[in-house]
Amino acid sequence: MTPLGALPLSTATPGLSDLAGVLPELIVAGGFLLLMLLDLVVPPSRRTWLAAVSGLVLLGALGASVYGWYDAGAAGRTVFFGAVAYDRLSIFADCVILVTSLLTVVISPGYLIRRHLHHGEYYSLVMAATAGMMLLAGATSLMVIFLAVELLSISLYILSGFSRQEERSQEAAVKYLLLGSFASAFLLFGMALVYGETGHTQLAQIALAMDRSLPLDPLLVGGIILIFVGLAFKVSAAPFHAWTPDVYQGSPTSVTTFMSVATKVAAFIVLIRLFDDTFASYYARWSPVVIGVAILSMVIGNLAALTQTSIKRMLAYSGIAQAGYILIGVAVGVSTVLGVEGALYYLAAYALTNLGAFAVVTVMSGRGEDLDSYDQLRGLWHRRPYVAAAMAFFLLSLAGFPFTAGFVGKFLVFAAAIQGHNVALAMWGIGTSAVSVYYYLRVSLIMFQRPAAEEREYEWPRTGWAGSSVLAVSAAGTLVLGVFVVLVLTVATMAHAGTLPGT
Amino acid sequence: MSGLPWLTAIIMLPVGGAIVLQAVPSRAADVIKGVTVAVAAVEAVLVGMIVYGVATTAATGGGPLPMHDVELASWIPVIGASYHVGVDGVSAWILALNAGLFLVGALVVSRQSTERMKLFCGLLLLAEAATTGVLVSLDLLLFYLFWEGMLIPLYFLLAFYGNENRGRATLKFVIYTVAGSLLMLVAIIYLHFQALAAGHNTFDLEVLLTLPQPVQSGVPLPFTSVPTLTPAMFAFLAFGLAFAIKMPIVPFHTWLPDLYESAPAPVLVFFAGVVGKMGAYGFIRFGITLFGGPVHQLQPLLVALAILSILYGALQALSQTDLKRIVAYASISHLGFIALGIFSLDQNGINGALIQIVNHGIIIAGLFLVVAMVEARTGTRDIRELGGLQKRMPWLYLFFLVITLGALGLPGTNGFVGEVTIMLGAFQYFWPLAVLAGVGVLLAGWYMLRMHQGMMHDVLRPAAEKVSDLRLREGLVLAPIAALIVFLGVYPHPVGAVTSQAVPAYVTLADAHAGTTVAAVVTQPLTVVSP
Amino acid sequence: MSTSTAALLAGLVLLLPLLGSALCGLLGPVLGRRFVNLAGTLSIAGAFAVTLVIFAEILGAASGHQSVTVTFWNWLNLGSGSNLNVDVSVTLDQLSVLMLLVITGVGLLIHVYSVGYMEHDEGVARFFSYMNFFIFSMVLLVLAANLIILIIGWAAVALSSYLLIGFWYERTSAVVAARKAMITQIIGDVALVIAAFLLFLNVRTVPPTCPPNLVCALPGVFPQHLYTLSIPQILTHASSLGAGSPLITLICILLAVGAFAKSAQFPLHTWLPDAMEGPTPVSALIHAATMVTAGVYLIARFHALFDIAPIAAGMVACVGMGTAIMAGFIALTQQDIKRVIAYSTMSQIGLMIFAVGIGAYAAGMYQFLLHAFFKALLFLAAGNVIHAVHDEQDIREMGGLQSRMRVTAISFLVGSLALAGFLFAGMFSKEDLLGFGLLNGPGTPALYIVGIVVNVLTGLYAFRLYGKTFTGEPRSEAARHAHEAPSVMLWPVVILAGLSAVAGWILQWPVAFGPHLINTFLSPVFTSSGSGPIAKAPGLDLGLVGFGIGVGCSLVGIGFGVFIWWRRALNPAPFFALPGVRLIPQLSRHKLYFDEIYDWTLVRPTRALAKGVRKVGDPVMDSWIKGVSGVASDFSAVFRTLQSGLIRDYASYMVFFAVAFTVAVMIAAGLVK
Repeated sequence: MTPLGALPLSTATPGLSDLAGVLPELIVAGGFLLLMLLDLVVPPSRRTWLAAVSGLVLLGALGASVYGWYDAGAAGRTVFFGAVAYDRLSIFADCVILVTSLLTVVISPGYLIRRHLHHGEYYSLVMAATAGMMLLAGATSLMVIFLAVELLSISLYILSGFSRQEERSQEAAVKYLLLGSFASAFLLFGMALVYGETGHTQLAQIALAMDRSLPLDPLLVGGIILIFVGLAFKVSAAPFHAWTPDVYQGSPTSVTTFMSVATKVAAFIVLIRLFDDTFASYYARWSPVVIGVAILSMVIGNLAALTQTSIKRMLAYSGIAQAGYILIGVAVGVSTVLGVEGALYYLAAYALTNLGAFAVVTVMSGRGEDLDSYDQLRGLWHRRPYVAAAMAFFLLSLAGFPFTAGFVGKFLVFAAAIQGHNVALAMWGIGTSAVSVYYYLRVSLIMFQRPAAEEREYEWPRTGWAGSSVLAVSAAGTLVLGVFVVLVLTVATMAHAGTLPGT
Repeated sequence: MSGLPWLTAIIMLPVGGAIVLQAVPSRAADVIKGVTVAVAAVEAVLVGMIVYGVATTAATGGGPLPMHDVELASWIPVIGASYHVGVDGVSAWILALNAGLFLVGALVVSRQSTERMKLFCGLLLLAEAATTGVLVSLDLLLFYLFWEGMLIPLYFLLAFYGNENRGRATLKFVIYTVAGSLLMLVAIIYLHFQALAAGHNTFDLEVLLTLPQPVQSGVPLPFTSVPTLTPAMFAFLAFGLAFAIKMPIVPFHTWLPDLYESAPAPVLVFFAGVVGKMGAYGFIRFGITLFGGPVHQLQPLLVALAILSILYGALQALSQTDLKRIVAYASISHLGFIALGIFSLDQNGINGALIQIVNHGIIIAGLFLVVAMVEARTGTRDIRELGGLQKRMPWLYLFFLVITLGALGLPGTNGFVGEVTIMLGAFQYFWPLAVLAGVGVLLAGWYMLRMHQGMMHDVLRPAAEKVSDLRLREGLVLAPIAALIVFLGVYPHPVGAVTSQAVPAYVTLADAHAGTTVAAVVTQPLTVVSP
Repeated sequence: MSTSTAALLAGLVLLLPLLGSALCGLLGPVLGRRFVNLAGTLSIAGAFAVTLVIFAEILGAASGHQSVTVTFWNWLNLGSGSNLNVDVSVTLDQLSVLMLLVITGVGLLIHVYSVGYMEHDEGVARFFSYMNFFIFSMVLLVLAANLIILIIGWAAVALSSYLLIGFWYERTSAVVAARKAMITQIIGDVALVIAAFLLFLNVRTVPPTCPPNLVCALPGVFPQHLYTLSIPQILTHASSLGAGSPLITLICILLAVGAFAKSAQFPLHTWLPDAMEGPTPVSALIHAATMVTAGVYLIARFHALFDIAPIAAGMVACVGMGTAIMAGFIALTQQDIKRVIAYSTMSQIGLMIFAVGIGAYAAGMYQFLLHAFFKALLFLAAGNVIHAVHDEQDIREMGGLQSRMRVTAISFLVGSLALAGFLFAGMFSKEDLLGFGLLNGPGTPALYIVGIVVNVLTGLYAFRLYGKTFTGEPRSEAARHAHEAPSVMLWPVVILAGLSAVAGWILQWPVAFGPHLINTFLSPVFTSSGSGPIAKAPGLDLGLVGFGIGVGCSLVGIGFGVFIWWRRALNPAPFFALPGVRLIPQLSRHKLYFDEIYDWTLVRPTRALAKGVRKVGDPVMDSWIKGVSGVASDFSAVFRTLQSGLIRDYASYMVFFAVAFTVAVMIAAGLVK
């Protein structure tokens, strides 16, 4: 047991350099306040301006992050007395998160207007959630982690219930809220245990303490597992996934788009930080759990997706499966370099691809009920060929076909598993992705069918410049990540190399 | 050929063509077709030059395989994947076939039969690029990329075009193939880390071939003398399954008949003609070179499956009534011959397999075109409703006759050249195989004549009452095919000369870990005549 | 003759028919009947002229230089590793030129005849195209100097026969017959190919130092392997296969199977009678004079192999003689004029096969030559008859034509005598080979006795046919109003009649009862063979005794035939009505039930098997996929039920698994007892 205060506590006050370290987060947070105020003055008919403003804010934050990439340098550093990391890992995550929320913001207005949900808070809430995610990605202290989790979760609770007239949306919000707070409880309990056993909240020092605390310490192990459970809930990995399909289906599609991607990225970054660095010395203890959860997610996600008839639920289950694949990377991240790099690459790939897929659903949702059931896609190919082609492309990427981002991600994590002498894990991945091909391609085949004479087609709205540009960007991104692997792989490598705290 | 990056050129040219197509307005169907045909034609010319180069010059690769026009560049340095392409006697003529058949495919696309021609042509060109990539890749990861990537344009082509129940067939095909390929991916990664352990961070085939095979222990395998279930064996099984499914070898063929039945002719021309050969090509290029030991250990099983394919396909073709299904099963039977040649692991057999790959590609394309032309006129593919077409369509009859003879392997047609060399190879390995293959030839005669006569002869059926003979355009497509069938039958030298440059190197690699199989060859034939 | 001349001549004799075929086939439909007739016949006339030149060249050549081999181009060369290296090359020697003379000569006559016969058929262009193609492929077959090329010619011949049998493609019977013929030929091809493999792998420059078996087939083990498919080389080094060895026996049996398929010998004979569905000129050219004798040529060509394979040779002889008597027996009761002649062909070729089987190659070729004359004659004459009675082929509908078509009748009579072996052609050749069989050869004298029985049968059915067709009262309207054929169809018949009448005498006369001219002409070919166990001079001085016996038997047969069916002096019907005997004519009428037997033992089982495979094959092989997908969807259903939508369930899952994981890890770590 390490007595409290054994380690020197910094008594200095935060300086400018500390602020610089959280510049992107600050910008987004500022955007959050700004949008709140603007909402009061902007007339309802002009709410699209809010989208524009938040877009600008996010762009600014993106710029700041890119600057930060070089400013932080390969070494990186912590700010606010080691509470927040200013390293390439967090900045990598920031960029992904910002891009996704930017794209979300671009497609939102059209959708919200069609669905009569165009309220100003939407944008400020997205800002808040984004800020929370970015903070989570950078957090290097248990306290900050919990803070960030709550920040993003609460905004997402509200967003998922954003469609007030719709019962399903309300139900989703309640479920998410209750189960989410449940998960937070696990997380917090785990943190408490870890703190209690190591006497530290800062990851770096926890790591040091753990190295010393060997041989094992039961409560510490328990704490680690509970933390994992809490985060597994956020990345919607089985068996803590139960909320995912209901919430994804209930929430307004644009919200689903956002949270299905961004949340995962943030939560996975912190998973990588905690488990592949801080808890590395307890690898032997936690790896079976992580591997087990990975396998469960792949199996349950893919098998359950087989027989779905709702696009959003199918994508939810596919998201669960994808979480499983990424967990492979996390699981072998300690023993292999490729593990974490693969996971990071996979995150970027998954972000673009899945966002694209959900964006299609968002953009194609008409005035009536949300576009959700498979039948509503039938014949899309004949009315909106490019949208259908894009959707098919995203689905192929999710299925992991070459020349798409999905393939490279899968390849890297499988390679990592095999390098980590865990061929079995790779085989689970192989088997399940073979299964997954079925339901992904089935959806696209439905789009190519002609609707039968008597049944009437779903009335798809026009794509519009915003929608088409988002689809184009994410499709292009998926293709680039699939072909010019080096670009992002190098970035991921650098991000991994520059991870704090390096133990 | 000179140092220019020809192979990259032939991969990128169709891609460029596909991009250019997007600039053409969808209305201008003729322009679209023109562009496509032009691109495919230029591609064919380039490939022709490359093949000529391979035939006339010595190999310049310097690796274990006699490669020409090699290009080597770093691709994903982190994991040691490289962009390594080259062409040799094994791939040269298949490349030519590839280019030729895609040209035919582009020629037979017509506004009447295909909506959204722009998309069709674009996908067609992309598919050509992918298949070309498969044939030239020397880096396992690059190969896998093209191998699996090939499915994307094909998937769209098969999903967009064809008859009503194409959906299920396509899905079955893709899942079946993907399942196999993913296993191969694992094996590829395994090989990579094996090489890494030996100090080479690489996916490069030629590097892997130079590495010493680590001695691996394993469980004994039934029905074989020495061999063991080593990791290498599992790796080979993974590769083999992928290739066997793509080829396909019975019993992994069940995706094929439904798919061929539902797919449109322009797709079938190159799908059946060349995509179906990729599995065989993979066996030669990767299967027997990387896994000489396992191949030799499993040889009895492999040739047994080959024979099974020959006879099974033939019997099926004998009892089917839908023309497309007849041709589909016929091609399974012929692919069985190709497999037999490969697994005889004998120079004659493998040369024969390569020759047969080219020849069968030409023949099957012709058959599917004929079936499509007949169906377009009579509106049926049921052999029981057809008959007497010879009276109405003498020209079609002429071309169809030549193609039929090629398909039943009549000496003097190209079908014979491959089959006889394959049978010689099989005979040298184990003589009864040649006899069983002979039975296959006999059945081939039976079902091909049944099909040919059923369509062309006997009294004119109502379905065939008022049909017109070939239009000039159709004739100009069929004539070269028929001409090639005869020409390559009386003068196969050009093909054989190219393939035989490369094959020795492959056989040597395969025999490197042969174990005691030579003894097998000695003892087997003894039983023929020893009193 | 110099190689270049040989190349030129061989090239011409090959190309002219091919050119004719192309012209007729492609331009014929456009340019019309006259053009087709000209192109079709002139091409063959040209080929015949060239053949005569070749013949002269060979006669003129100094002995030892009469055989020339020319290589045109390399067919396939798979390099040193595989050793497969095949040239497209041809040999001109006495044997091939003798074949050429018949093929182009008789071929020319039949082409001329066809001009008249096909006058009213709109498919004439196609017909001449096929016929010319046949001549080309037959020439290729006999000239081939490489086994692969020979096999190509072999198959091309089969193809043209297939096309011509099915010429009237709207007749179901014709279509079926064509397919039957083709498939039978493929059996022969496969046998030949395998024989070729064995030769390729075993022929060596020196006799094997290892025991005679396929161990020597292992490439590279014995450097003295030739790895050749060139026929001259094979013949020169035949002895290296080991006289009497199992290997050589197997090779020769396989070659023989090929020969049997082509020459309609037992058990591959059933296609020939059905082949009569083709137009009559086709039957005359392909199914009597030339193609069906290719089997005889093959065995004669590979004499060096058969010389040292006594077992195989004996088998060949037996099969030949067996087929001869079987066919003769069947011919006795057939009612279709062409089928009768077809069976007689089968029987006569049986004799040739017997001859080459016992090593009397020259005698066999002699019989081939003369048979070509009189059999073509019979068919063409029969064609005239059929033409006259409006495409009626049943002899029960004929009769009394003697007076109505005199020339044809006389020619037919000459032909029948020649066939029966009295006075004309057949007399010499048949007695020659029978006599040979009497003196030496396996199975003496059993086979010889069978042979003379065949003579009796031949006489019987020959004159039954003549009698029923030409004598007595017309038995139908058509027969009553029959007219003599036009001259274009008459002249070839007359010429052939002349040939049949005199050819034998000419060839035999200068050397009365000595070795006939064919023998002397061919002897260099056959002496060149390696010495085998049965060393013998080719041909033989035909003893008077044997000659007498043979002709005597023929006369008996002829006599009975004339008495029963011409003079109607005696009626065998009551005898054959007897209970025990009744079976005999029945067997004969049903061709010994061969078609039925094959149908039930081969065709139907295969069809049934195919149907079975179609029913169960793919479903079975698909079953595991179905199984997998079934299991998957079951699991999927389970997960869906677990997805109840109730928060309390979801929460309880979380608690359960959280606790479970923690406890499990603790236990695993041994932290909790």
